[in-house]
Amino acid sequence: MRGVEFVGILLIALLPVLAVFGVFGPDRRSVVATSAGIGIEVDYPSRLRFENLERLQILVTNNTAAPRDITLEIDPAYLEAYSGLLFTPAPDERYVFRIVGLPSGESRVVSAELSAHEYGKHSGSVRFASADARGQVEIETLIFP
Amino acid sequence: MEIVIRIALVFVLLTLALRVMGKRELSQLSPFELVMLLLVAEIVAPALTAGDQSLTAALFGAATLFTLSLLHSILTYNSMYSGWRRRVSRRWWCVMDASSKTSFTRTACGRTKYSRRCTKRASSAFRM
Repeated sequence: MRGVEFVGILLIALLPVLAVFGVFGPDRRSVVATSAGIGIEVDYPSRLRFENLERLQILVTNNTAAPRDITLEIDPAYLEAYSGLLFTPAPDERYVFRIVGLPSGESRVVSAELSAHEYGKHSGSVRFASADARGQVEIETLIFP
Repeated sequence: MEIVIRIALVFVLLTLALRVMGKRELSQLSPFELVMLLLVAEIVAPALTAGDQSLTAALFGAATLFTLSLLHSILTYNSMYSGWRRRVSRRWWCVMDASSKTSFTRTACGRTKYSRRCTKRASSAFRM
């Protein structure tokens, strides 16, 4: 076996090994942000493959002593990489969700089903705002072709 | 990645199934067997990728198949020249030869060699 052939075989054999260890597989991450007793936790796909379905989940928690109205907004630039978006609950405006009177100590979940449509690296932010709280988390997803 | 495990399982299963059916040239297949092979490909294809239509999955799938094929070749080559395979094939030839009332053995490299031990071993095998 010649040296070039050996290197080629090694490279080809390396791909399944990497795949088994999940190097190019789908992956998820979770980021948290809090501000003045209002907290959000965003669980999002950090890696996925073209046309694969994944779920973006945002957990909004009110840790203040009184009920709060919270507005949640997902960056449209980030969501443009996906098709077939399905939100639960439905957005009040384009990618804007209003949670009215969230009681103290309670949480609400906003989730979106995403189908990867444009490969490459896509980043954006999830912002939340209340009367006296404001914050955002940065999310980034790599879509393999 | 799930796709590698799926492909490996299907590869092993189909290799075993085709071995059980017997080694044949494509021209020796009956029309029924040819249709069956085509249908097997159709049935197995969706299970391999599990609906994943991405280029990444296709590349990894192809690389997995190439690697499995290479592994199969290496194992076949090694077993052909290993002591175990030589012993088994020699015994097999002895039994075959005894049934045709001849007393020769074939070595792994294909040479024909007469042997008294072979005849003895073959007759003892038949007694069993």
